[in-house]
Amino acid sequence: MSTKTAQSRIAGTLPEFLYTDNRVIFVESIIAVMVVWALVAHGLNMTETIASPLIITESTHALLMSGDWVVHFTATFRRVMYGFILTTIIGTILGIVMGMSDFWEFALQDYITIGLAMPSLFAAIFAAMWFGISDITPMVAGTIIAFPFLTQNVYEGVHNIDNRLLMMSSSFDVSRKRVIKRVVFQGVLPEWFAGARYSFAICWKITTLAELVAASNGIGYMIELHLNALSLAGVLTWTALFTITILIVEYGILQQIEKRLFDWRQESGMSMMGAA
Amino acid sequence: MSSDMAKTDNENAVNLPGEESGGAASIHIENLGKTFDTAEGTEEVFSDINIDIEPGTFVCLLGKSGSGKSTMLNIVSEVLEPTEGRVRFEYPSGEEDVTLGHVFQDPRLLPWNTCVNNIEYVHENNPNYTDEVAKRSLDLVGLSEHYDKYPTQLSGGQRQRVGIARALSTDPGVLLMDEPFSNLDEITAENLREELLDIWSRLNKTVFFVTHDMTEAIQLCDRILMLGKGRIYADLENPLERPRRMDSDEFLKFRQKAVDKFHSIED
Amino acid sequence: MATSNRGLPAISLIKSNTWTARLFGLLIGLAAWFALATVFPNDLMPYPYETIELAWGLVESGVAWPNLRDTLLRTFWGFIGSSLLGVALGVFMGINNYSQRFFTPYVVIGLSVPAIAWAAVTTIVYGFSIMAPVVATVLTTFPYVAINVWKGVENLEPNLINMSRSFNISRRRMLRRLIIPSAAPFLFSSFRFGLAISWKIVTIAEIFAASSGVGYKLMQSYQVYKFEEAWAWASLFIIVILGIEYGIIKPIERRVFEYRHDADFALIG
Repeated sequence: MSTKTAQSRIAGTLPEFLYTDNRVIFVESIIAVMVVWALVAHGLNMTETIASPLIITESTHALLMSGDWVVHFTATFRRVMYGFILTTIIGTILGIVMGMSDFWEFALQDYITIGLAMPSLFAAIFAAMWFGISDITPMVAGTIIAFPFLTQNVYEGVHNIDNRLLMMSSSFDVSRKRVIKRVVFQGVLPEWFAGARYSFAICWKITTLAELVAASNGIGYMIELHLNALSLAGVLTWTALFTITILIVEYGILQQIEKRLFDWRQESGMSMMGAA
Repeated sequence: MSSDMAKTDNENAVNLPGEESGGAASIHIENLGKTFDTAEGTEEVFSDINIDIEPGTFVCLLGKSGSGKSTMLNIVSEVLEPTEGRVRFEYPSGEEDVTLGHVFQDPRLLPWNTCVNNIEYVHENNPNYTDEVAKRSLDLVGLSEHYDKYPTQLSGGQRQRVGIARALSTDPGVLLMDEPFSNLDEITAENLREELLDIWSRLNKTVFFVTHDMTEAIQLCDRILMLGKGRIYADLENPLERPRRMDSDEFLKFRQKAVDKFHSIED
Repeated sequence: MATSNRGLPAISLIKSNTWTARLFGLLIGLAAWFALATVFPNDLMPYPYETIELAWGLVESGVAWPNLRDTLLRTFWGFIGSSLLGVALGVFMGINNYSQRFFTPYVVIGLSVPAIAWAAVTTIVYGFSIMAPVVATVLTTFPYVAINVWKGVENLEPNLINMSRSFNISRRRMLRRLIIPSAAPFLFSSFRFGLAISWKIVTIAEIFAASSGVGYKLMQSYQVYKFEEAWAWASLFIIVILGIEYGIIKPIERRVFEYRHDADFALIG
């Protein structure tokens, strides 16, 4: 393909590691963003409104040092966990029911469709209407929006269980309990994990949205605060912190868990993405 | 080929650790019949089947697709209930509680378990089980280098071997095989057939082998049963001496005779 | 241990007829709404017919349409923008290893930043213009489109491409008969998903980046404690969404996936 030949022509003149080493490419990528950002800011003469990368890095650092971020991060995190736990319970149970029973699948499928398409704002506002400024609001909002994704993944996983494995187990007289544990549960686990992961990400985002609508602390609350003060630097700082946290959770924790759980598969690929 | 077969320490080892070998069992199929209820009405697959198989013999059940041979095997392996009649097994000692080992057309391995754990999976009720049992079985089929591999890391032939190892690991009185090599390429299938014969001669199990391939049947078995139109219409003794050469005159002659007999059901 | 044979289990009374099941599901939903409405005070949970009345009132008074229109317009532009950006990124990531590794951080970060953050940023930068919600939507949505397109490109079988070359098939014909049909399911997932996310983000952005639109009206009703009105607006919009989902998306989906007998797209989330 022509892209390859063009690339190799250019590449021929550069030291190889610049375009093959993963970490180097990553750095190049970040540099590109920084450069574009700075150029846009200067070019539009908006260095004040589109705060330059340097300012953001500084203020992020300052915020971290000051320790002010702790109370808000813990509040948000707490709400996310509540929502995620509820989502997992509802989503898993519903997914299994719908996977094993055609009747329930048809009966509830439309609600899943609506749930998937529902604007998150609606969930946030209605939860806020019912529960006011409390931890319950983000929890309920997150659950409403997130559980359909988990449910869908789980019931597809159940559908995909290989019937022949069940038959094989039967021919070797394997007990029902063992079959459920070693075949059904293990078989559904990958899909469940993908769904749970995706739901977790959704819970984060809906929680911050709900905080923006009705909360007295938390990351969403802080973003709104800075928005109302028209402080772009403030918004970007908190956004940066939030994003970095998610990246740490995603790549530090979840990806590692995934590798352990699923090293029997031969798949590469970006996990967060798989559930998209 | 045979070099794939690991040489076990004790060439005559029959037992797997911790078990007294039950040896080979006889199979008695008595008045067996199976009818299915389908949306279009009832469909009789076969009826009035009576077969007695001596312990340690290698028997092939031959039939065209749709003849009901897989159904019969499923009934014999107690996965399916017969509509009438029954299947009985018996060790020479008179014991009728016989362990059955089932090998499928496709390997049916749990993809998330290693080879060893795939074998461990079927040993739930075995208090004497240790991973040694699994490993010895894998040695038998030439997979000593692959104890901890996952199915995705194995070739089709290797996966099928794990399936065979799994069936053998339970020290069955009868080995039930449902066209185990039909999904493999001819070279791999050839190898596995040779290895199967080798294992069979060493372990002395009764083998009930379903196939649609005449040459395979003649190469492997002592006795050929042909199933068609709901009944066993042929029961041939395989006169050829082992080891058998597929290009020898006797082989070709017997093959011709068997093929004629096979097609005779059409008339 | 013998499993049952091919015969079907006894067919029970209310059964696997999909339509009766769906009707049943619908009825439970309505019953639940009714039950909640009875239990909770009226403004928090209006009865179904009250909501419909109010919603109809909004339509009649002419207030509904301009707001719906504005939201849909922003959704449309956001969708277009994110699709263009997403497809471009996805294609690059699919065909070129370097591009993949180069663009991945953008996609990953894009997936991690919450919509409210982008909405806040674009509000400060663009003020009340249509650009604010649209740009926020593009930035939030493009990663999802990019990933699905990327997977679609990866899914192209090199064998089929080689085979086409050996028959000297023209580029154009390959594109039309091989590449696009092969990528179609993934493209479809991307766009369908992209559209759904677009309207979600637009409504979020509208709470501070606009002076019209469903999201704006919803927030307004909430802030003045006119909760029944919020329900009415939400219902209106949901009806529109369902119209799009069942009227447009599902029929296309059936066509695109016709030749496949496995609906193996966990991509659809």
